[in-house]
Amino acid sequence: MNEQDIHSAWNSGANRLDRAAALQLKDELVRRLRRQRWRELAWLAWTCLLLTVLSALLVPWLVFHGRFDPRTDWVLVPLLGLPWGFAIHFVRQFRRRRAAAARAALSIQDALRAAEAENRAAAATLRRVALLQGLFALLLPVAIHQLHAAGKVSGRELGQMAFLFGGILAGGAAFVGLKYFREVRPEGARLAGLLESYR
Amino acid sequence: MSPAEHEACFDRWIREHGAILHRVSRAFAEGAGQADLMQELLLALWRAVPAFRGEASPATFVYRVSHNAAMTWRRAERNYRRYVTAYGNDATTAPAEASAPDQERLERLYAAIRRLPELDRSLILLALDGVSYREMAAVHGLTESNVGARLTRARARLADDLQGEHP
Repeated sequence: MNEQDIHSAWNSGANRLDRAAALQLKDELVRRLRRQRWRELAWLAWTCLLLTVLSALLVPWLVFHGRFDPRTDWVLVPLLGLPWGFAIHFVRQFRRRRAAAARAALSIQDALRAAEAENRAAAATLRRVALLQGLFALLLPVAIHQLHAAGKVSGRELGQMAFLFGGILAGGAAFVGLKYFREVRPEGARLAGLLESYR
Repeated sequence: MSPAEHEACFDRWIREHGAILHRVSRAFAEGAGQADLMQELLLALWRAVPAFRGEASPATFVYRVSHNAAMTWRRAERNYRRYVTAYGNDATTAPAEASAPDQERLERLYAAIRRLPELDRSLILLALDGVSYREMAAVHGLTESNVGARLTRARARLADDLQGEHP
């Protein structure tokens, strides 16, 4: 295939877009994106509302009714903070996706640099989350023990709580580990390779 | 930008520059991956619409967004695979009136382009679409002389690859 063949193949009818199919695909995508956005917004709003109501009920009940002794029940504070931490993380992620669109105005090389910086930030966040999970793995037995010692949890419930929260923590750790080693780090290496090709 | 303006702009770009996405999806993916990549490109363009400030032409902007998305696209992580539903590969297939020899020749050309490194692949695509060196330099953030030097090497590599095949 010589230069002329290349250009004639490139400009042939075979290289045209089936416009009707593309427009159909576009319409479907727009509909789905709208639905997805509403679902995400509804989920975030529902989660934040639920947490607000729970916190608004629980905190005054614990503090003003003398049910909370900071010396023995302090571990409830980080445990209540954990779901709020996750909720804030999801809201930030939701907003960040919109900010990523601004990258489109950059040249590809600059966009790759921005993506690499974002990848490094994501890796650092995952390392911090893993650290937090380790911290909570240490706090959890203390919290359960405190509840049991205060007579708020029976021996049978103690085992169930340990199993449930231990399972949640183990699942979270597996998720973070998989995301870090199978997604974020390989992506970082790939972006570094692409940037290298510009040098 | 209001949602209606966003959608109108996106719709216009797909009508006028949809072929760019089609060609990029064929040059950066093969088989079922082309439909996946086409979806990814549509999504990238949809999200990029608010970032368009009119500093470059819409075509240059579409080139930038689509080549950027294709270069960073990973087949292994297909978050949007679920969008590939009833329409499947339809959006990446050629019109029915295209002749079989044309399709076969074109597929050989795309296969050779896919064997190039990503940056060379992108530059060759832009060159085949008749994009000027100046625009290519702006799209990639390179100098014009750098674009010229890279394109010369990429063209030679592509020609070698295609000459090594049976006609």
